[in-house]
Amino acid sequence: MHPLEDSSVLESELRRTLIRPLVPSNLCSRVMARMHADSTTTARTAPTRRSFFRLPRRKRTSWALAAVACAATIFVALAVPAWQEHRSAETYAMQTAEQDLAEALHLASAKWNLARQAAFAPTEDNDHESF
Amino acid sequence: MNHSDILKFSIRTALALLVLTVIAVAQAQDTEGEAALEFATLEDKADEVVKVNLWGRPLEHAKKLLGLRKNVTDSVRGFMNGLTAVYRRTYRFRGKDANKDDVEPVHRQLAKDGWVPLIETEDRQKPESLSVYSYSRDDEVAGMTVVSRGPDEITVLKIMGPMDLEALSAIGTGLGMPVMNLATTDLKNAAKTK
Repeated sequence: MHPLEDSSVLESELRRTLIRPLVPSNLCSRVMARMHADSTTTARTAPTRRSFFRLPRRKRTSWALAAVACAATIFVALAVPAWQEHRSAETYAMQTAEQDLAEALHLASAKWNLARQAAFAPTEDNDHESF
Repeated sequence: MNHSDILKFSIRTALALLVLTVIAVAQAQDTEGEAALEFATLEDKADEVVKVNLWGRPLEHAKKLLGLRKNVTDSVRGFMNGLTAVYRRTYRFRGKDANKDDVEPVHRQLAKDGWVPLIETEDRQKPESLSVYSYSRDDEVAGMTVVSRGPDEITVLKIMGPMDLEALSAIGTGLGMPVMNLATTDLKNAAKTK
């Protein structure tokens, strides 16, 4: 190819490349329309939060069982130690009450015997008063 | 709400309060002999206070447990089963003697509550005395109180329930308990040596 012919081709190519393209007059409205369309599509395809009661029965049952199991575990973890503590406290209280009763009755018996002996024992010289 | 409604409401409220008061008074009279043992002056003076209040469910448990001991006789078990309440107050003094005036409030309170002295013994040589009171309800002995004063200890023991004194006498050896250090031991020794 001739160099001159080549330069004209190059020039025309340059002109064509450097020419500023004109913005179409409805570009703005088209872009806005596209954005609106995109947002609508995204909203439609996003996963929605489903209600428990709209789940299938099988899933609902499994969720309910899991919840019951969790509640039972928490209840056992909290209630059993409290119940054991209550039982041991009650046992201790019963043993204490038994000991208190035994001591009280023993004391009452001893004092009664003592008073009876002091009051009714046949004595020649009364060292103490008896009423 | 008009005037007559207010009047009706007031009369009904007054009647309800009257009924409640009558019930409360009847209850109080019924448990007169079971009045709580509280002696503020003794508590203030004592260095150590032992308080035992046994009634209701704890007493029932205690009776059951005590009844399981193998050396408890039937008469003692019967006596225990009849008990409705057991109260004990022991006031211990360190370095100071319990004198006669200290137990006076106890005797006054018991007399006020309708207790009758059954036996009263006193050692003139030593600061020791022992009194046994009984409480009657419907011509039956419904309780017994023991007030003992030693040199360094005052004990008040109130037992409510039908009293079988022979069974009470036998309890001393029937519960398998060690011999207690009685404050009024010398009274017993004195009686024995006569």
